[in-house]
Amino acid sequence: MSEQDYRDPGLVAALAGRIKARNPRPLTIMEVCGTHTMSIARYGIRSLLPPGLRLISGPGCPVCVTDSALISAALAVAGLPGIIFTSFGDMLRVPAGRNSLQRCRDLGADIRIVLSPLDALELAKQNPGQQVVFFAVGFETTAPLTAATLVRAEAEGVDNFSVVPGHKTMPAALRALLARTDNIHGLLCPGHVSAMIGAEAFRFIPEELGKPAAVAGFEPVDILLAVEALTDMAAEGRAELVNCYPRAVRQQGNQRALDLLNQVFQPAEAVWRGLGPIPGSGLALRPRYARYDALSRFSGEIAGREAAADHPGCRCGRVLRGELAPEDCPLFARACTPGSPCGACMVSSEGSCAAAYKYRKR
Amino acid sequence: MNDSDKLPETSLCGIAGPDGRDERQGSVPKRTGPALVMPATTSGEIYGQPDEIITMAHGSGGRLYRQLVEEVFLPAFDNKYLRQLTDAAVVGCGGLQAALTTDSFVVRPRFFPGGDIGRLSVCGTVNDLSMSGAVARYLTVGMILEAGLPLEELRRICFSMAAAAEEAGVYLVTGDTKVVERGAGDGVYINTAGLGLFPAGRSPLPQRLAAGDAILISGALGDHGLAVMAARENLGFDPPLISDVAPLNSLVEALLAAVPDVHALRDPTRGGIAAALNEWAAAAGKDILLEEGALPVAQPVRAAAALLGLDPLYVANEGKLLAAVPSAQAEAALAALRSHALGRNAAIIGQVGEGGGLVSLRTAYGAERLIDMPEGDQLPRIC
Amino acid sequence: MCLAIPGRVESVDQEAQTALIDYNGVKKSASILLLPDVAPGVFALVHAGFVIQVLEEAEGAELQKLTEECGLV
Repeated sequence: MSEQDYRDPGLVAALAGRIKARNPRPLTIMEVCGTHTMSIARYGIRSLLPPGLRLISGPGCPVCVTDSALISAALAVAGLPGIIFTSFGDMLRVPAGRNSLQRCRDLGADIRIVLSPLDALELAKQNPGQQVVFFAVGFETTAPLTAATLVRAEAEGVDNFSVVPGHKTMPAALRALLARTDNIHGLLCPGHVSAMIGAEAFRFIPEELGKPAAVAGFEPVDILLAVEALTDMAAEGRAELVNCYPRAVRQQGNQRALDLLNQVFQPAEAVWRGLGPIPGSGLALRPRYARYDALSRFSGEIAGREAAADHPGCRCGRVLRGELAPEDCPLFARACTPGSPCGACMVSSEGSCAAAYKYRKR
Repeated sequence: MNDSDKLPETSLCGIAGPDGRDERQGSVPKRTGPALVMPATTSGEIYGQPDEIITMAHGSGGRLYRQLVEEVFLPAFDNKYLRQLTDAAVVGCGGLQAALTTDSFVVRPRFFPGGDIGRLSVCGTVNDLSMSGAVARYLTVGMILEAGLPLEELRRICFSMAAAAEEAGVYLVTGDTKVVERGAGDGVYINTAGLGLFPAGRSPLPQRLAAGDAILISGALGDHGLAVMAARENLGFDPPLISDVAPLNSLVEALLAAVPDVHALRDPTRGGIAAALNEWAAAAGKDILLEEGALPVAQPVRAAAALLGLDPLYVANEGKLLAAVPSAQAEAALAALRSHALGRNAAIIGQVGEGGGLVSLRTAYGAERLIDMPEGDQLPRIC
Repeated sequence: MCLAIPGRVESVDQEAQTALIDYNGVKKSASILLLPDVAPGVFALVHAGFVIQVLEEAEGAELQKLTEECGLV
């Protein structure tokens, strides 16, 4: 079996044909996963769908929804002497005002890209004389990895390690988002978040919010199958949860990951760029692990830092809420480009604006 | 050599090797002193202003690098030779035409599967010369060595350079060495300059696309950049990714023998074929359309790129060339490349269109999307 | 957000809590802290250096069925 089978052009064309043949009425489907944003753009899924079937992006990019205040705090920590600051590559160019981790690095800060939080822990073990900080950003697919890493840090007595806690969770944000908008007819649910927390985690979308939901994978066949399922449900007026990614998604998810998540983190309020503060949408460290919170550990040294302001014309908030298409933002491709981004949606490797820019047609 | 001569062991970026030490050379001195003072930010500040400092992004061969050329180097150095803006300048020397080029090598780690900084420095300059249509002849070598560098390593690098020079049939005729204090360099920096001559009857290549030209690549994309990144970050791929670094002069000769009318040649190094093709398209004011299905990528490179969230179109190659040839000559060019050991996986990957200056890719599903000039180095991503 | 790549679990090192994953071209190790019972031979999804879920082979059958449905066999 290979993912290549799920990219087969013959199958993709056949599925696109099937959707067209159903002649669906105009619909707006929202995806809430940056990796879906990228897949849809990269494979040109929109061009395969009938006109009237609109795919829009929601706040599914954890990089994009990290607000400036948190990034400024991370930059302040990264700028402290003797700190080795580690982060996934995704965060490196996200702007907070004129600054970014990349710029910080160019100016001399010791900032290193890691591919896994365990690599950051390893750095801490190899550099006992220095503090190693990991920028913990991501949704429920990634948070259990940080949890597992902190459990290991505790077990191995690694004290020179800490994290900037920036993980967020989807359900609370989706509730907040769908509560204030009425023109979304179906939701493409994130396949790998679901692989971790189970498809059941999205049951509330049909049951509380009355919208059809389809858990989708990331290959073109996966996305088209989910879009087809949503159009069918919408046509028949059914609001149900369908798992269109059964090869990876179990109804209950990965229990061990969930246990670790609950052991280390507790729900807390988090500020989402574009959505503001949402109760219960963030993950804070439980008291037992509170000493691994870098913002507390270094609070004295970073107090009094300047909080960066967003670009005055930035409309990332509206884009993240699905109210504005990237192309309709006046800054898009003019003042705001991947090279000189005004906001996070353009700089994140899977932000809606970055995807729209990178994969735009002539 | 005792411990005090060793370079500090702090790794630059990533994970240690299996025994805890990493074999990479070069280090970041631990920072002490006050916190960084970041530029102040107020809501009234204008965004998108060009930086007043050199950043890593300037070095990655993309848009910012071009900006540096346009805004700093050209205003300072402008002359008709520089304006060729090609890797090798074609200059006149008392009736003879020659190609002259220079390149500097700062790769980390210095030794990687498939090559090392020495081999890279010889092949890189030989290739720059070859792309102009010149026959590479003589190279100079300038080295900047950091105090503390083990002599044994320097010997290995020099022998590797000698082997590469012999393989390419060029002479290293003169050189220079400077030594800087520990911390002021990165082990070894190498600069090579090269001189090549045009054989009788051969003019320098036009280096300009024409509408209808076929675009060919001599082999698979992304080998070098991914191999170096994997080695630098100790990513532990098994089998290790191998750089394609190789001298392309004999491949170029094979191609020109079959198709003298090649319009342009380019070795797609930093920024990958995306950068090289965007520069070609912009210079000619013509569009280029690539076929996604035609792009050769080795399976290990494809897998590694997927794991890192990277796109092989943007990854450096050090043993490949791009060729733009009249469409009637495309098959002959392909056959010539494939007949050579370094061109076995050559492919026709696209076509030059009419006006424009943009590069697009047609996907397997028929949609077309733009391939932009890279902004800076691709960064691994997990999202 | 969730670049997760499928690969075949070639071997498991229980002591190190890692597995060697074959990504159809390269092999690289990943942590099994989140899926300690993963067995060699299965296909699994790997995210940021961790094995996060086993991929059900039954899906191969689903794909076959879909291909037939679409009249592509």
